[in-house]
Amino acid sequence: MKSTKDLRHFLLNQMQGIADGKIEINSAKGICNTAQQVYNTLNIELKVASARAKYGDDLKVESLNFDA
Amino acid sequence: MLDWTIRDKDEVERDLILVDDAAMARYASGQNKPVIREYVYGENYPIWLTFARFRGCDSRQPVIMRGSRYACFLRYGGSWGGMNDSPTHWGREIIGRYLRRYKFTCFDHDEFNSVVRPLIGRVNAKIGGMTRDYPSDVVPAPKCDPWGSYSIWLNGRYIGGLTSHQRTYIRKLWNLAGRIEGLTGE
Repeated sequence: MKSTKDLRHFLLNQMQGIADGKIEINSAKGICNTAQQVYNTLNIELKVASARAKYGDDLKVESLNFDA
Repeated sequence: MLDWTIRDKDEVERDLILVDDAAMARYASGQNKPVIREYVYGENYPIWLTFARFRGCDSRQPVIMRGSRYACFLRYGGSWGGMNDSPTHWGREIIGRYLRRYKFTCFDHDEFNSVVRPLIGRVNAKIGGMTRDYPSDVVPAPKCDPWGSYSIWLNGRYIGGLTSHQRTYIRKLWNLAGRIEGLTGE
């Protein structure tokens, strides 16, 4: 799997697998959770790319302090 | 009582108003009153109001059509489980508080798509739900039976009889694939 297009193919095939009863519910749950993380990462990357396009490559994103 | 029958296409075009699900959730959570926005439409069918995202509006907000007499609440959950009953209650609350002059009904998205889309006869007269067209070359678009209720099809197969867990994860995967498509434009 090398692209978002591949990922979409994968997800849609999993849908069919669930409908066919070939994929167990726990597996389906795991696939959903993992795919959600991939989506979140993709979303963040696009936001950073968008911010860099807007503010330039000098943009620096500081790490967040969880104690705050 | 839910008492609303769509009799003909003209009635839908003339009299339908819609309140989408997020409005009910927002209202029920007590965060604020539902955001009601009149949709200013031109030459298009009023039903286009449901695709506010294509007009640069916030699709999460409910859209009310000017001059309408009927309200249709599109609720969360529906055939996919969860929160089946309370949205109807929320719909009544909203109607009672903000839209007194309307009759209303409460559909889930799939019901709405299966009822209204055949009337309108437009591919894009669809709102969310599993019955939406999905422009994918991988899986033929799910479809619903015209006038059917809770008739969910995937790749030519009726899946309404699946367990709630199966439907839940199919829906999640469906939504994720759609979001990825939305991000990448693929």
